[in-house]
Amino acid sequence: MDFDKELDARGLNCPLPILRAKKSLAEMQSGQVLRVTSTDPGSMKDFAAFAKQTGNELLSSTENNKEFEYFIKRK
Amino acid sequence: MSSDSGACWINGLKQDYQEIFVEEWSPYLGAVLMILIIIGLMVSGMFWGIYGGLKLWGDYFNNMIGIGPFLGVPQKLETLLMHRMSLMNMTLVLGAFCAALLSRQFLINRPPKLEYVWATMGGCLMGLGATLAGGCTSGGFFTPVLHSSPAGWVMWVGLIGGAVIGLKALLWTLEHIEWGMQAPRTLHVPPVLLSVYPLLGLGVVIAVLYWATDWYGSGNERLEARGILILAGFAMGFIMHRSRLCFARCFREPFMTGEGHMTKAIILGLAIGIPIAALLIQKKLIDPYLGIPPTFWMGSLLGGLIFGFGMIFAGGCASGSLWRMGEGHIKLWVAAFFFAVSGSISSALLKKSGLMVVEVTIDEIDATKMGYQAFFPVMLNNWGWAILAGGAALLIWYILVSYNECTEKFTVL
Repeated sequence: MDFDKELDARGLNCPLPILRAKKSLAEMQSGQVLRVTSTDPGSMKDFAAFAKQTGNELLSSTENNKEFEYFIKRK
Repeated sequence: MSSDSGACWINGLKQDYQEIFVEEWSPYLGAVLMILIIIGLMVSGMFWGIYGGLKLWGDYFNNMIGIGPFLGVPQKLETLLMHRMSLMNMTLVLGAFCAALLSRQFLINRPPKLEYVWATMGGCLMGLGATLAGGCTSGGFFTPVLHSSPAGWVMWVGLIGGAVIGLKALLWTLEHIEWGMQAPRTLHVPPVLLSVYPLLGLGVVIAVLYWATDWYGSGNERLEARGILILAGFAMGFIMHRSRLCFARCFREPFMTGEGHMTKAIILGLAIGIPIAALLIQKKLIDPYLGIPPTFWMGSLLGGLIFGFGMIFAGGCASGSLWRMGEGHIKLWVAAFFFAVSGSISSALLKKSGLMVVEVTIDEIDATKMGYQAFFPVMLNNWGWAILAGGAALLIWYILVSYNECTEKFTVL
């Protein structure tokens, strides 16, 4: 999937992946896509809740060999 | 036909395994199960606490490096496996480790360098805060609230304040500190190892069960009691990992994303637990003062503030740090280490300064300069009012969280 900005949140556990994603999204324009990688098992639920709460669309959320990958579209 | 039913049965097993051991549990389920275990502990005459065990580990370390006598750290220490909270802490980590293996989530998780700084700072503050409050989020907040002590609620106030200030501080650091944010390479688990994780997990369960039954059936009264604790701690670690139950999240999340699930789960747990605990206390199955620290109210408030701030930077509360250790997060190993050492040092120095020397008052309760053992039924003269006080506090908390979920009025992001 295409993306405009990337956030490497590996090694971080909650609340940092969400906090850093929020900061990255704030620096982006509406419609742009942020790619986040995380190794926190709790991040899947966190990002789903974050997307729902903030209105930024979670385009996809996948796991590959302990690394989680999220694509979030800035609202 | 028989092979069909065989395949169906195996598929059923696989699905059950997936649902029970892989999928995340609801925090409400986690909270209710935790209450069950805690009630079980109470019936056995024990209360749930984590800080006491960590402090013991800190005492051992400080004695080992030679600063113990200088600080005033106790020299004669109970052994790590005999000290009840220490034992439960260890099996809590094991339980989480086992759960992480069964769900194939265990991973040695290395954080960016800056996180080690926060783990150190957060851990040190948590140790100090827990000493002042007479306990951590478990022993200084959750357990006293359960035992109808206002000390828990005062720590609650402190924890909220500390969490808000900590969150704002953390946000500030995200804006202003660039150093040490580079994530190290993820340590990938070889597929062969990953595939046997569940077997390893099963091995851990069997080993722990064997250990517990060996002690329980030993005929030695001390070992018998501790056999139960082995299982209780293990179960708690397992449950907390599966449901990702965390007091830090409980206090922090409403101010961060507005989401209140963890908070409401803890509220539910307390709502169920307080009346049951009240019954057990009235039936004299447990002495409530065992679970009430002599810190009402200055110690609880100050301690809560400091602990609340620290846990935001550490990335977990007391129990949260332990189960994340079991999941493989290196940052929390560091945080727990400094929590332990700081707890030992704080305790020794605060005692030496006279601030936290325990004295028995005329009413035969413990007191320090930071407070006394406050118990609602004594303060309010009857149990009815005591339960009402606890219930009212829970209701207010619930209303604030629900209101915030809709309006996000209290979020600081």
